[in-house]
Amino acid sequence: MKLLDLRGCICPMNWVKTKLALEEMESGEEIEVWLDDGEPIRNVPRSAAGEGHRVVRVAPQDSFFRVLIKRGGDS
Amino acid sequence: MTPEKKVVDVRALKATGMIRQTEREYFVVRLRVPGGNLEADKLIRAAELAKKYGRGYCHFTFQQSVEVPYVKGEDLDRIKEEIEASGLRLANCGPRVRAVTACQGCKVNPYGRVDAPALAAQADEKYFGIHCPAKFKVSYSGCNIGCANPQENDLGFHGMVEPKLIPELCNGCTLCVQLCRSRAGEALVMNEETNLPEWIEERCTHCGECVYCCPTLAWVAGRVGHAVYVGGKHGRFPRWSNRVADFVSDEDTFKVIEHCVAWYQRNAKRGERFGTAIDRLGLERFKKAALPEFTTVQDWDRTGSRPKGIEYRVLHTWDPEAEG
Repeated sequence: MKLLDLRGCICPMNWVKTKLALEEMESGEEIEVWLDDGEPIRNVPRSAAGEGHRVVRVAPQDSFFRVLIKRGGDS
Repeated sequence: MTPEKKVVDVRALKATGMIRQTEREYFVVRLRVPGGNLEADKLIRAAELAKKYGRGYCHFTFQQSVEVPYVKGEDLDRIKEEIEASGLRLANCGPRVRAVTACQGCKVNPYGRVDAPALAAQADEKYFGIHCPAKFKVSYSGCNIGCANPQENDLGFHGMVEPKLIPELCNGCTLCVQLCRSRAGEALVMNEETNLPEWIEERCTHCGECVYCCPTLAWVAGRVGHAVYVGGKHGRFPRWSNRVADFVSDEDTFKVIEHCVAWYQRNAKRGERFGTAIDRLGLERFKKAALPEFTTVQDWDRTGSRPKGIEYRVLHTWDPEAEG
């Protein structure tokens, strides 16, 4: 499974990178994204969901979040 | 220069927003900007007035007014005419309801839950300038971050929201639970059996973070309203306000202002601030007399403005190296 470490990456670049990674994936495939607390964790999952992907799980770590996103169907 | 001396009623001028400076021949002219929003054309007019009558600069006050300092006493009548002709309005000073302040509100700030500046403008229209025992400041904030300092105004409001879960839309990602832990106060916990978040009302600060962050839009806003804080002030003897009501509707905030001002006029001594009068006569007595129909949902920790017993946890760590 793909892993995207976006710690230290600010909005909206973190979402741009996530979006590009998702576009290269097959529908139903999953990717793990590491996001900082604050704006990144507030906004990236919401943006992903807004484009039809599925936020499967969010796991908090000491100083960041591990987010599992499943690529949505092509629309 | 006219040879005869004109008698100036400094107190009357002060009431209309023209305040004598330390350098006694000059006045500062205070313009009214309710809610902190001023049309660009009017702002340009204010700048022009500062160039024409003042020393070419404006001062932004903590009450969100725009001031033109260094206006000569003999120019006051003319600047007043120009202000009125340009659609600007004079603010005030002294013992009365001041221009109502606000943050940007929900239309600009994603944290916001209510349209604070619009309500501030309406309240300002209704209550600006009402005579009181001392100054009376009212502020509206969009959310419980409270950028318009509800705890330090005589009367402060901030937006609040009650989250409602649509279980069919939730996929159990736990994001709301994680964010709630650092923002509100662990008001959401994951139910392992149902794989759904559960809301614990008595821990909730009603910030609406869950409604904002939910990637599947399973959290929606149920009730939306205002929290009411009374008796705050800063100054030499600061007083943290008391939270006296929750989920007051937009319309009812005006009723709260009316009732509080009426109680204040009847019960405070001359020069006594609202909070001082509340302390002297007792908070419970004030609540019973002025706001009998409004109540708080829960017991609030006075120093932290959070439900009692809730600790604040910070997940975020700041790494200066990473910021480059």
